Amino acid sequence: MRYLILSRPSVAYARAISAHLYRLTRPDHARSAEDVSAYWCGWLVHPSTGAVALVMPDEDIPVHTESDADLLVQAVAHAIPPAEAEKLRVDILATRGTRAAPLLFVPQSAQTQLRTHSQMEADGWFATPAEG
Amino acid sequence: MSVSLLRLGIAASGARSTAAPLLLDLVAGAAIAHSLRKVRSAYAGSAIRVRRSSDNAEADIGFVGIDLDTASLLAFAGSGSAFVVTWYDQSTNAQHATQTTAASQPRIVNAGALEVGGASLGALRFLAASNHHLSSPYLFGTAATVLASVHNLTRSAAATVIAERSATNGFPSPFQLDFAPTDRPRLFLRSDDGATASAVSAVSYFGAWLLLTGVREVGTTSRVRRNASQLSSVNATLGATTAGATQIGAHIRSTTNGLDGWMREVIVYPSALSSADLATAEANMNAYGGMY
Repeated sequence: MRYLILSRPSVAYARAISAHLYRLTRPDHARSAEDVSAYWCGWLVHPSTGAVALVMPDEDIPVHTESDADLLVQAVAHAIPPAEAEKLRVDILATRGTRAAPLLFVPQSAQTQLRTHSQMEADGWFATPAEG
Repeated sequence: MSVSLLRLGIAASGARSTAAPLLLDLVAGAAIAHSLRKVRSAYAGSAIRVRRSSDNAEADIGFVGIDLDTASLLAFAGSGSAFVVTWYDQSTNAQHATQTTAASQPRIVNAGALEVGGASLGALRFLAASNHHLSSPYLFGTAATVLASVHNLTRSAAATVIAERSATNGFPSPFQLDFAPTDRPRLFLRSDDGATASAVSAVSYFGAWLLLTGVREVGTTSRVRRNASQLSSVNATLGATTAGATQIGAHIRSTTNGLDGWMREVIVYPSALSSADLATAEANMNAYGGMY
């Protein structure tokens, strides 16, 4: 499991990115009305700085044959160079119908924001809960 | 097994009879009832809704007789895994527990094999490191009885079975049934003013299925029980709490205090059950799960 610190300290933004990752595996048109799953991964808020990080599972993502690459690309385009946005779009299209490692969808310039659990712990992301 | 038998609800080989006494028929009035067996004869819904890992498709899984339809579950999962997205509430209140985040959904099939936790019955596997949990719309009052069939693996942190947090301070309150560090069954109560009361076992229990019961009783003695025997009690007269949100399998305030183990039933009554009803409920759950 890895953690990706997001460019925007916003839970709404984390929720949107996680939902777009899930749409890669299950586009809206492929879902049934009774489906419950809507997010690929969870997110954390730093208890003192308010920074927000995605909790990226290690398991590969089954990319749907009809997934829409543009939704995720548009959501992160503000934070990455245009060339990386285009590469992300190409990578998504290339993995349609296969299983892909989630880190494949983390653009190059954002990979400096990836953290391990121990790094997150050292940076104070996990507040020690009081008794109970 | 033929499809016609499945449709008629006739028990397949090894499944229990539909005539077996069901828990909520014996002790009615549950506020929420999540189980992998049928616990109320008039309940006509499914046991769980699952997501399979191969393509993230979802499906409802029901019962064969009173038992989980494991044949349909395993057929749906194939050689992959399946995760519980909804644990349906079999009480009359339809307060289903759900998890919309795929990575946080407890697992019920692992690479084609049913999760059983060392037993023979199906179970939900909660991985603490993955923050597996389900969110319930149920909000506790100042009295409650919770019965849970659970198998916890040893860990140094607290392991939450079910907890509601206060909307005021975010701490689990007014009801938290868990294993305190390390592996000691506990009923933990907290009010918005920070006062706490805790009934906690002096002995650690882990590595085996057990029936964990927590009873909160207004103004008198609240208690925690293991396998129908009382472990600890506390006089829990506390101040007010503000309703927040309830989670099964994880601590709401912290992502590090989740259950690491299995669960197959969690039943909540909105009152302290009488001694007779409590004995009946515990005996029924044990007759199904064979925990003691």
